[in-house]
Amino acid sequence: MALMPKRVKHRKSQRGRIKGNATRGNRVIYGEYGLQAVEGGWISAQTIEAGRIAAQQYVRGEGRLYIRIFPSKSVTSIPLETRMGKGKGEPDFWAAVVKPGTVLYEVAGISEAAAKICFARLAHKMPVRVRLVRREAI
Amino acid sequence: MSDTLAAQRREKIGSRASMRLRAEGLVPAVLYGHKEAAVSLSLQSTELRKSLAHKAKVVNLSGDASGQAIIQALQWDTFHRELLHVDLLRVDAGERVHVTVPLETKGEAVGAVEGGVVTMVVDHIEIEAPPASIPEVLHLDITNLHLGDSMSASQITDLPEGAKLLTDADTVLVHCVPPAGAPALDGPAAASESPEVIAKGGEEEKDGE
Repeated sequence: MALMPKRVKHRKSQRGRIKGNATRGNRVIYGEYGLQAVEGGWISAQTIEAGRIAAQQYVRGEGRLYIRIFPSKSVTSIPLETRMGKGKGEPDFWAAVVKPGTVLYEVAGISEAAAKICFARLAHKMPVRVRLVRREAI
Repeated sequence: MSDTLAAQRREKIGSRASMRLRAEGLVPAVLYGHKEAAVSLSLQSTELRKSLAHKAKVVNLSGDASGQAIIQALQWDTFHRELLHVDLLRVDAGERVHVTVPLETKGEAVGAVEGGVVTMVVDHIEIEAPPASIPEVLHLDITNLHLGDSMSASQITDLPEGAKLLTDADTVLVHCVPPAGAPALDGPAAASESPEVIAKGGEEEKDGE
């Protein structure tokens, strides 16, 4: 099952604009390698789950996968063949708002070669361009 | 090993002037410490990057500034490609300074062969040492790390002469745990169809129309 918040203050949110780069969540913290978004966008809960499943087989036996984003934005849609107006649509899916530079996933306990293969497979599922990053010493 | 960096005094300060400096291949820096006034400097980006490539902590300054300094803080852009700013702290050869040193593991853990995942919990530690003996990196020998075991800061063996560990000796640096794989997402949040909405003003607000 896909991720979603437990409790929310409002069921629907405005669309908003993605401006600037990520100033938080842009470093590899938990694992040794990370997948960093190079461009901004919305990543739906289903996509995050698809990425997790894609990466699962590479970390099952030896490593650990960390998901660094959470879908906290509800995205609404109007049903097909509906006339315009009559208010905002109903929540359709949940999405994570990703700014350029956000680290999406991290892995620990696997080799760099395995991490590259894992993230290459995972990157195909992502709606934004991504790159592999290593944990940097301060 | 300490490298020498040519420093130029910076008259114009602020983000616009700094941006122009970076376009010229310079990096804005500030030198402070020893209860003297802070001085705005600019350093050659290529020289600085060479020093950072071998994880240098102490640098010698020449030109408009002199003496030894510690690279106290570095500011990078979002993608860790461009160096935005450097903080330099004045030091004397005789004094002892507090620095953060990166930590690396050495060897292959026995626990990894036993099916465990070796994870670095902390990748840097704080030490107090004279500037001359600040190591570029500290190593932790993990060859005898078994599955379920952990290693703490007190087990670092290559601490240089005269250096004192400031990080708590009991701090776990590396551990070997059974593989967790990918996180399971079938928690209570995933089980419910839609999230609970927090009512704004209690019952009245809920019904009030």
